[in-house]
Amino acid sequence: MKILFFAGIADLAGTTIVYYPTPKEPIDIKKIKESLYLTFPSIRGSLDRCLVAVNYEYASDDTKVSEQDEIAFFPTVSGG
Amino acid sequence: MTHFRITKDAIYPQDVIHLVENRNAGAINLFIGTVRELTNGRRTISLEYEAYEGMAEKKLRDIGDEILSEYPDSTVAIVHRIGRLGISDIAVIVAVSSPHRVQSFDACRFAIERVKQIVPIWKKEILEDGEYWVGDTQ
Repeated sequence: MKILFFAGIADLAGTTIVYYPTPKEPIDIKKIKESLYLTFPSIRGSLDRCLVAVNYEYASDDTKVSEQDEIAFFPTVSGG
Repeated sequence: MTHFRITKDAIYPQDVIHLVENRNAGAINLFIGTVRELTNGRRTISLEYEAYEGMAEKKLRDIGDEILSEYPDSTVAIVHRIGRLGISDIAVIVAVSSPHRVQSFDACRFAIERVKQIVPIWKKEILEDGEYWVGDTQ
């Protein structure tokens, strides 16, 4: 599973992409966050303030994801 | 050129106008977002825009759909530039054509507000004495 970081959260994590081991069954975003905290202690706290998207649509902590999904975490948008 | 696009290249108003030109249009409204030098007395050197490109183009298309359901006779184009932009460079252009002016004004305003709400694009302010992501509370 591919996980992307953008803007400030990518700076904090020190990377823009993480490959997450494919879960046997769909898991929720909350579980993925818990696992990311272990790998990237620097994003603890910040990740919870991020928006999350699954396959280009806004999602939430209880959204279930599986192997083919693309997940992205990013701060409040500031385009324009 | 598609109607909803993220680009690393300069954007020219005439190109975006061409996208919405329409024989039934009586009005074309254009919003041009540009890079401002002074914000609260601090001098910006440049802005660095980053996008989640696939999702950003999807969200631009969604905004286009929202406009069509609210203003059915309109034609919409939204082009947003990313990368490093200097003062007065064009960051975004929204163009809406419609049979009458009221719809094109309203739809254009609606579109740029939605861009600022839902399209995954971020800007980093490069100042004389540092840099920061706009709106970032990290």
